[in-house]
Amino acid sequence: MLSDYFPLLIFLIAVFVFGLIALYLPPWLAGHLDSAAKDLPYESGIVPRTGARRRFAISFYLTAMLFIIFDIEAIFIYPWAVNVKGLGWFGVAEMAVFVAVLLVALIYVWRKGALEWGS
Amino acid sequence: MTINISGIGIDYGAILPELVVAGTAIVVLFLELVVPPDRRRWLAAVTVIGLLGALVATIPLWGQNRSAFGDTVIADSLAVFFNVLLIAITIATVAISPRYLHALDLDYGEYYILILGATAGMMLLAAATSLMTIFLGIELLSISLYVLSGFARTTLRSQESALKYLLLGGFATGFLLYGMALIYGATGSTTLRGIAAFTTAASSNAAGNVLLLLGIGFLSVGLAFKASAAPFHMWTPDVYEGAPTIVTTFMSVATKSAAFAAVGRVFIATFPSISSRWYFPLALIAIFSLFIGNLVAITQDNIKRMLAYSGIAHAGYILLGVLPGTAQAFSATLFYIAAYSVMNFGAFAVVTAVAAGGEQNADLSHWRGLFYRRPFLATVMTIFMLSLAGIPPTVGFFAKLFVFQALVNAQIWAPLIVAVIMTIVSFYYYLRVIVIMLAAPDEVAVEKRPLGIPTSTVLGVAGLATVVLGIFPAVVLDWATRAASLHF
Amino acid sequence: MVVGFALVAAWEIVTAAGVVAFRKPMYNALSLVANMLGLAVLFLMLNAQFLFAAQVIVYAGAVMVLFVFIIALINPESDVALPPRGNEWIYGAVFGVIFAALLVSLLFNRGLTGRSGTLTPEAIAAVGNVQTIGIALYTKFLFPVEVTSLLLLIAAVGAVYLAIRRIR
Repeated sequence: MLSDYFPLLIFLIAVFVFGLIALYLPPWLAGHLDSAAKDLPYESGIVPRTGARRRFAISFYLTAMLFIIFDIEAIFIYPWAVNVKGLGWFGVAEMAVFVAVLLVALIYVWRKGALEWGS
Repeated sequence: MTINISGIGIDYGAILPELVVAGTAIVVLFLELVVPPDRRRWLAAVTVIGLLGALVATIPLWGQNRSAFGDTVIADSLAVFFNVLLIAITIATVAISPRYLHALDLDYGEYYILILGATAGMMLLAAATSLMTIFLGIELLSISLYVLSGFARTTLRSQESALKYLLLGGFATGFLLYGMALIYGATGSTTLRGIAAFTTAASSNAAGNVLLLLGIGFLSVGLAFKASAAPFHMWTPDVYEGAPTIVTTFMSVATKSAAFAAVGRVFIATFPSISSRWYFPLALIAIFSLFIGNLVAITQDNIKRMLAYSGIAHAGYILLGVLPGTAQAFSATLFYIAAYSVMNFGAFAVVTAVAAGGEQNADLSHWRGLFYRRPFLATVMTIFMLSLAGIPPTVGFFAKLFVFQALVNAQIWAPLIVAVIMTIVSFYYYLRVIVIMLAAPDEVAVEKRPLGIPTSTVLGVAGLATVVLGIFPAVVLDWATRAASLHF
Repeated sequence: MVVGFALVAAWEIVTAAGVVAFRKPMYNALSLVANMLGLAVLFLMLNAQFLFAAQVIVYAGAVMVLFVFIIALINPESDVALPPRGNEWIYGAVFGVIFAALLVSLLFNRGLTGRSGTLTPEAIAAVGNVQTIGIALYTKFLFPVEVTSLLLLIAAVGAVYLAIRRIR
């Protein structure tokens, strides 16, 4: 029941507290020095030439969209997997049809070049 | 632990038409990957062959009552009625598509895949007897149509159309799903059979169950959106105008038909015992649609927008036949849907043919003197306009007559009076098109742009059907009557 | 249990307000992520482990990644705040109050009765939450599951057609 998740709660709190410590303890211990060079993204590296805020390529959107589609496929496989013994060969056939249709989707996406990046 | 799989009710025969359509979509998808671009019009031929196969698969199911897959789908006369109608619409659409797509430089195979996907969704919706399958059918047709509205990828109007349809459609889907969740919570069942058993049981007091009524309300909003009935019609004119005309042609008739199949299954077959509860909201939606559709159509100067508002008005007429809540009145609705499909498809197909030179030709001023430039197109358009207005001897006259008769028999007066007055109002904007086409053109320049055999055949058949069914309506009415006797 | 629910409910209200109140689209999206994670915790508290996993993996994970990408795609200056508020919030407030009144009146309505089914918490606990859902999906709802794969196929075709840079 719910008390089973109590360790998880403690873990979450620990993560949160550790994050706060990592963020605020060093400046507090080390003190703070302000200069223009310190505010650069790479303090002693490449000098930025333009702003970091620019339009993302549409490929990101397409990849995210396809990721959702195959993510949902994975979510459907999960409850099937825990029952695979009980469902037997019939269940295997069911999942084979399901995956086959999505395999068609994958072939289409691949052949259309939707997975190629930047060409 | 073994799981009992014997009670699933596997029956591939019952869903064979849908399977054939979905299978054709996959075949076309593979062909699209291998066929060179200049041969893509042959994909239309493959699509039509697949659809004819689905037609052959669906006919033997007439008169049966095969509930399959745990009551999620059924193969009965109503499903067959809609399957035949939807397949016919799709075949006609695909037949006139290649020339139009080529003119717009849009001949991609995805068009046929998405059209087949939408058709599969609509057929599923017509056969759905479970909230699950109703939802999946609606989503399948919607997602296909969202993309099809934006099929002219580089045209701003098309993109706008797709975005508006997607956003508002997503909002409507939210209502639909919320309604389904509430209905499931109230009745404990996702199948219409189970829900009907709950609502008819005297012990459950369904008419006083707020959860159930609220669920039905939200479900109605979702379905009314898909049928573009007012006041959930806001998207219709913009989407119809912006989408490629061929897509508008398809979705203006097919989506509405499929949505009303679901309306019939939900309201006539599942909730007859609480008809006193849903009568008033549905009557209100019908009256709103009649008012808004007919009155706003008068002011439109773009024929696509005018037909969009006319489509909203016709959603109102179609809904009238649902109000009495009887199978007999529902048969009038089915007849109306069939008649509307023929005449409205024809009207939009003419717009497609006229607009093949460019989308701006949908402006009514361009139609001036069409009789002198393109006599065939203008003649069939006249038939469709007369039929949409409901003037005998066209099928549109009998469609309205049967619906009005059903209302008289059920003694439903207020919506009837509105419908009659609005029909007279509608004469103005339908006849205006004819008058504009007859007006003397500024310069008589006969356009020698041939229609092509498929387009003229489809238009000829639609025009002929509009007149012939107007003289002999009995055959279709008989089919509609048999399809309307829902039982499960 | 009640304390836990109250905490998560408060979290949900605050993050939901953030979704509509922030003036920078990226903050709205991140508030939505926080809101969805809270919803996942609510599912867990109701012993709906499968919904919890689906909520985290599909919604808070995949869907929100898409949201963030879209914001980065159409609004590159996502640090720039939206234009100042006009009058539109009045409509939102009016409809919000009406909807809240509807919900509150429903809570006090005695006609609001759900039907208890056969799958009681004990019955589910005996088999396991994910197992129960799996059995239902792959027996009773076999057909809808298979239709879902077709839906995903059509969605993939549509997404690729609309978004690919150069269609062939």
